[in-house]
Amino acid sequence: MNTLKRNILLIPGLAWIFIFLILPCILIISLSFFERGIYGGIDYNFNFENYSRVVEFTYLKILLNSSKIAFLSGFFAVLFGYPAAYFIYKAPAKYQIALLFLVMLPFWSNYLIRTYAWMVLLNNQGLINTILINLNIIKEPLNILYTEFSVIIGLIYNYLPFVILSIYSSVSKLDQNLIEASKDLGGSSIKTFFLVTLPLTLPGVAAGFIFVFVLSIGNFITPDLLGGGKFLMIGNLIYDQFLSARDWPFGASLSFVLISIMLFLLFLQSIFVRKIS
Amino acid sequence: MLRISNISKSFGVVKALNNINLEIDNGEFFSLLGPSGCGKTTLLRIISGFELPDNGEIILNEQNITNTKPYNRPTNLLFQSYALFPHLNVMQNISYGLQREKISKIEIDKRVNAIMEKTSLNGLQDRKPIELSGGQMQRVALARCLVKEPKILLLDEPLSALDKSLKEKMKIELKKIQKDFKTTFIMVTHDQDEALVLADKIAVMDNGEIIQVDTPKILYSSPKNYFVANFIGKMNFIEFNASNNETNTANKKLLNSGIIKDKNSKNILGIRPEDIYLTINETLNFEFEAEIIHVAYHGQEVELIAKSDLGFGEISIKADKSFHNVEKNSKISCFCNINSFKIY
Repeated sequence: MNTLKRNILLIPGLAWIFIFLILPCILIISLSFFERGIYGGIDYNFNFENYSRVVEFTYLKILLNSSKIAFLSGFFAVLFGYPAAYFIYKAPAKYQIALLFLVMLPFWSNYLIRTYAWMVLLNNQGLINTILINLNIIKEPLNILYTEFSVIIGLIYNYLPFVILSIYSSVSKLDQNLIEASKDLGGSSIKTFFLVTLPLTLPGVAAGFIFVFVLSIGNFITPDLLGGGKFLMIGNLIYDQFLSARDWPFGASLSFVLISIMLFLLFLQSIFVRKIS
Repeated sequence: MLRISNISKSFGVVKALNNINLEIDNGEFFSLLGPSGCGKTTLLRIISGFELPDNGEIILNEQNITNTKPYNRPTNLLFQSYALFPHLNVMQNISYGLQREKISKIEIDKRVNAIMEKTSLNGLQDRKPIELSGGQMQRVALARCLVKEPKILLLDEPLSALDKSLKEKMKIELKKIQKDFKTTFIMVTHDQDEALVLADKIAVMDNGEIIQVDTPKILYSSPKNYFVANFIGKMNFIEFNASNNETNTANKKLLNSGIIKDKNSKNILGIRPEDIYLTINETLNFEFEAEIIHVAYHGQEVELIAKSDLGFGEISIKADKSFHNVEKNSKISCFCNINSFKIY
């Protein structure tokens, strides 16, 4: 009886996931095996043509470049996020909630507006260039905006709070006795960090990294705005297939490849976390 | 020798330690004993270097180590929770401390193997801490400290995480290891039984102060004050009634014996249960009456809870099995040596 009641309570949630997540995925997968019609419709000819297109050099390059950008964003987000999370954890307990609140604060404003703000900061007449020129550090404005670099900055900026939160939750769970034990056994602060603190908080680091990677690789707004449409990421490519090229089957196959990559990474992460704990 | 002089420590308004002075000989098994919040753990953390005292000095073998960082001190701490590194196996845990020193790999392996032999951890080197039993975890933690050959091993409630039968076994093992290694052990505990069994010397602490430092024997037979008497072992307390001396011969005898120095103030008599006898012999020169309130059966022996005519306060008397059927409210005669009474 009890299990039955519990199962009934599960139905709304499961139904939601099935209708809005599983079903669209099935649709996307099945779509990816058909062809684009002459006028943009779908010809129901079963074939693997779209997948052989995905591995064509042009598209493979976009996929690899997207992975590179997502990887760098994840890497630097972790690099910047770890010290921040550690600092928050080390702060007096009464400030920790306030600091975490500040980390989450940007989410209360619109994603587009925040991205536009970076355009204002980074462009040739922008704040950063103006300051550098006025301080006589540079003579000519730096071309930061509309480069891969500015895209990576935008992605790091957007996802950094998630990284900080996920590392914070790992660090705050760490048994302080282990830190003291390491010091007691002769480990300096630096040794203790690399031999005890870091290995034991890797699950949080991995979760944060995967999070940024997965969200970055599929992102199309930031590359569009901060990259100035000068180069495509896989998210832009999919967006174009569905909305400009009207080649839904090809877009679907690209989406499926992207989803597979994400699922594979999440799978790796879960194995990693299980192995550590 | 470890000399602790004039150590004080406050946390905000709370005074955790108040002018502590102690001398601990090399090779001694020393115990800091007291109720929770008495400051014993703070003192341990000051010796290990995790807290700095507000005042005072820690001198180890004529060397001032008061401000030495924990990782530069020749002391090691056995954590109450063992604090084994969960991501490292037994072997890696034990060699962790040696790898932090400038010691060759061959030497490290030699010492780690030797200590694993001594602490009977052979065959467990590849296990992770999570795959160990409580007793094994403690032995790994112990080995991890001892392999560093510290001048002093500090033990923070080392037996509190073990179940009762394992506790008894580890007690004997700890004592054996300490005698084997001839390392100074300083153990913090709230369990007087542990301290009595293990320690060569015990410092009883209360409210951030040291009340009495003595061998277990002296501590038990001559507790300095009411607190120590109450904390160590079982003690019967009787609020002596001096005005009762006209009607009660026992009270009169006590007053005349000279044990009671000041008959006008409140005198608390203390006597150990095992010092009260129910049959007379030639060493017992004092007799008093008691009324049975309750008989508690302990199997091997019987405990009689009674009200004595000496004054206010319930007393416990050890008796053999034949007293199992003694009636409630019946009166019995108790005998003791008058010098068994302590006055507080």
